[in-house]
Amino acid sequence: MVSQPIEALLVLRRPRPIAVRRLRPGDVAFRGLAWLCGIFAIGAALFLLAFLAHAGIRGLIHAGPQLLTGLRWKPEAGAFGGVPLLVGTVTSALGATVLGALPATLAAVWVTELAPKGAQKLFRRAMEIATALPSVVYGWLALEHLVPEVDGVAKLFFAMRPDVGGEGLLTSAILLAVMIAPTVTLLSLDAIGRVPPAMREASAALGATKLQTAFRVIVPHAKSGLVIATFFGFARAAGETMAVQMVIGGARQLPETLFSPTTTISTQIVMDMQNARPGTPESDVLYAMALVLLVFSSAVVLTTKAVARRGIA
Amino acid sequence: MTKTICLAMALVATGVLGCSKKDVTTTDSSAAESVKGTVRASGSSALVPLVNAAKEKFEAKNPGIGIEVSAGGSKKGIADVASGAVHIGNSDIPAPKDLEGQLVDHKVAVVPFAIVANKGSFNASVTAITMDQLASVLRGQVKDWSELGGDAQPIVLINRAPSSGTRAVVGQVVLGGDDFAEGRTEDNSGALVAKLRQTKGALSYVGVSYVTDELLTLAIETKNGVGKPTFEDIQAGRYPLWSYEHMFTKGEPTGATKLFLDYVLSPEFQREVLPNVKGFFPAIEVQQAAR
Repeated sequence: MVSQPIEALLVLRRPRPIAVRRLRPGDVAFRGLAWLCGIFAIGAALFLLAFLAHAGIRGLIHAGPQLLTGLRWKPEAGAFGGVPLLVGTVTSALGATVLGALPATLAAVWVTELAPKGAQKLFRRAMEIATALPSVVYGWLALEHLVPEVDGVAKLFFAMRPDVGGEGLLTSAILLAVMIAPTVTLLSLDAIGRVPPAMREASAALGATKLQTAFRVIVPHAKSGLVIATFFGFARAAGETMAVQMVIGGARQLPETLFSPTTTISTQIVMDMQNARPGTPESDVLYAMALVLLVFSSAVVLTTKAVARRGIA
Repeated sequence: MTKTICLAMALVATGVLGCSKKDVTTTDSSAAESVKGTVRASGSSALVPLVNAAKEKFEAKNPGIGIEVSAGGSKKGIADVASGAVHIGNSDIPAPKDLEGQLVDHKVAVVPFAIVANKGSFNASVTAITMDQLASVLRGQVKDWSELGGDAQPIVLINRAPSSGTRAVVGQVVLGGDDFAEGRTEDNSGALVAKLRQTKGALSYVGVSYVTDELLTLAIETKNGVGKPTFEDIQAGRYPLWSYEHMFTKGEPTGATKLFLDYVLSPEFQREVLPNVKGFFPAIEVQQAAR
């Protein structure tokens, strides 16, 4: 009596070859649903791209070459010089990468290779929470606490110049550095986690110290992953909108100093979109700038992939 | 769908009116009771408190009619009403030239704007500013508080974003167009007030509902005298920085929309309810000539 149910279970559990198995109606329905979702996702992405390209190219034609060479951005007066926006985007993201990605990578190395056991889990949780914080919170904190400090430093260098202050390129770069650091750290942790444990053991067997193992074995081995993490941080910094808009100052001109207010592509889109009725040239040119940002981000992603492929080869 | 219903209601109402001209007053009130539907409005976020105040009283009087209001900026309100997505487009700014023919303007309130600055010992002695001085400051030609009668301290001008209705009004009245010096720009009134508080020497312009004691509010000197952003000074023509708030309809309003607009412009609402909403003055009391 007792053995009978177990026998029955065994029979039920015996795997049948998948090729022979006939699909049940439920399976067919689910497979269909999965197909539909997949096609919908691809379709939505293509549609979005097509829409952006349609409006964006109209905007590119309207604005002409000044979009990439002009110095004056004033859509309400028909001036669409995109240089201040492009420069602001690239320099603030670059600054953030320099200030944020290197410490983030080193922190990941420290916590996996050198820190006491148990620190890693706590560290990872803390970083996950930091990535989950909404950007408006970062922006607000920076506005209340970082801007006055940077303002103090700016006054040391430039005394009473009215165009120099707490809002500007440097503040944005510092804020973005803080914002991308958790993401870069988590991706770096994953990259280091993919290094086979045997490497670590072999290094230790050869008599290397922990520090030597970390920087001569682990880091070179995880290099492509660490570079990808950095690029990812850069792309995230270039696209960040809300927080940057709060501290960059919003001046539609090239910054004369690190402490001068300027603007970025995403900041300007958010400032100008209320003024651009759909279908007007102003709206089309904003879409053109969005297209430029998309092409730029895509270029970063493609570069990352190229780096990754070379890293593996 | 709702639009069709409203249109049908309007047709019925006018039909009734047309048939019995003898007792217009009674027909009128019964028509008001019979009109049902939803009036949708979108646009200026500054106008939302006013619409909500009107909605509360109006819905109590007209149980069959609901008012729905959403905020998304004046330009969106104008675009929405022009496309027929809403019945009323709320706006801080006049209709653009290309839509002037289609849209009917209902001036429902007056909003004053204030010139505000970071408060400190450097500008403690500055209480009023002439229109010429103000224009020079906004153009970036006057750069220091000492030129306005204060101590030496650079003026940090913070502009509103180009989409701002406040910027449009101040530009029009003071500069005769958008001729602001390029520099710091803030999109949001709340964040602007925070920046004015913490940036030494900062100066900007806001709707009076954002004015606080922590900021210095400057009086403006015109040929008619020195004025502050108060109802009395605007009425007397002593304070030039104000504009009408607009509710646009596509063509003349009908049905429930007409009833609602009639209520908003009624002496009852304008004199008794509206003055209690912070930052608004009754439109029917101020003449355009007062500027």
